[in-house]
Amino acid sequence: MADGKRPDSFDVDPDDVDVLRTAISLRSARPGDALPDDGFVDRLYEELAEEASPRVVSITRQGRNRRRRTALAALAASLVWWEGRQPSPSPSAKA
Amino acid sequence: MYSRVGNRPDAEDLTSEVFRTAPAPVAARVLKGRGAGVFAHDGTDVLASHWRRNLGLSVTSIDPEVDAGYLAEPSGSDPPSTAPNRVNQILAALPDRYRRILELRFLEACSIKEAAQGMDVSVGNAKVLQHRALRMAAKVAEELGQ
Repeated sequence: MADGKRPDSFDVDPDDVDVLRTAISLRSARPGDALPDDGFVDRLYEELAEEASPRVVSITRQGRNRRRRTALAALAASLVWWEGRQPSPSPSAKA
Repeated sequence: MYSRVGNRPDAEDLTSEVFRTAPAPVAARVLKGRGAGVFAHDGTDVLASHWRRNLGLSVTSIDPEVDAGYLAEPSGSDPPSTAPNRVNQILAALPDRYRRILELRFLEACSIKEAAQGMDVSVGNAKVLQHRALRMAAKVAEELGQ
């Protein structure tokens, strides 16, 4: 905690709660640490603004569109292949 | 939130969690205006849940009545916190070596190795010193009514 790292989860002894609370008080009294990091605030704002924007296409919708495009491309390719396999009319048939 | 958990990773995760309790357009507007005080009640719940999940007991809390004003402070101004005064009171009541190890580790961002060098003791001794100093500081804080 003194190093500013996230402590691991553990079952705290009730006797240690006061010690932890004191460590938190000491750590948060470090000069300049009281205000949030601007980078974090900007990132959070961008994420929220993006979620709030109706222009943003959801990942699910993007995936659905991609699957639709893939299916259409496969259908078109199979039609071309099927046409290619059709026998061309023989000259006698033309006559 | 930082003053309630004492580390940035948890403080940032919990702050994000608090903002995500509201619809994104509302949360974005509040964040832009730095008026997080409206989320004080959500902050109380998120912090309580954090302590339950990680330590099984509540260590710190947010009082919506008291802390809403602090959370609503505009960005760039120093929060009207009395924490440094309280910490100074606690430190002033400790023996010199206990005070010094806590200053080095918590206020001056020294690693345990640097703190040990600064106090001319081994790393092991610095760890023991820090542990005892914290215990005594907790007792002092309790006596001071914090």
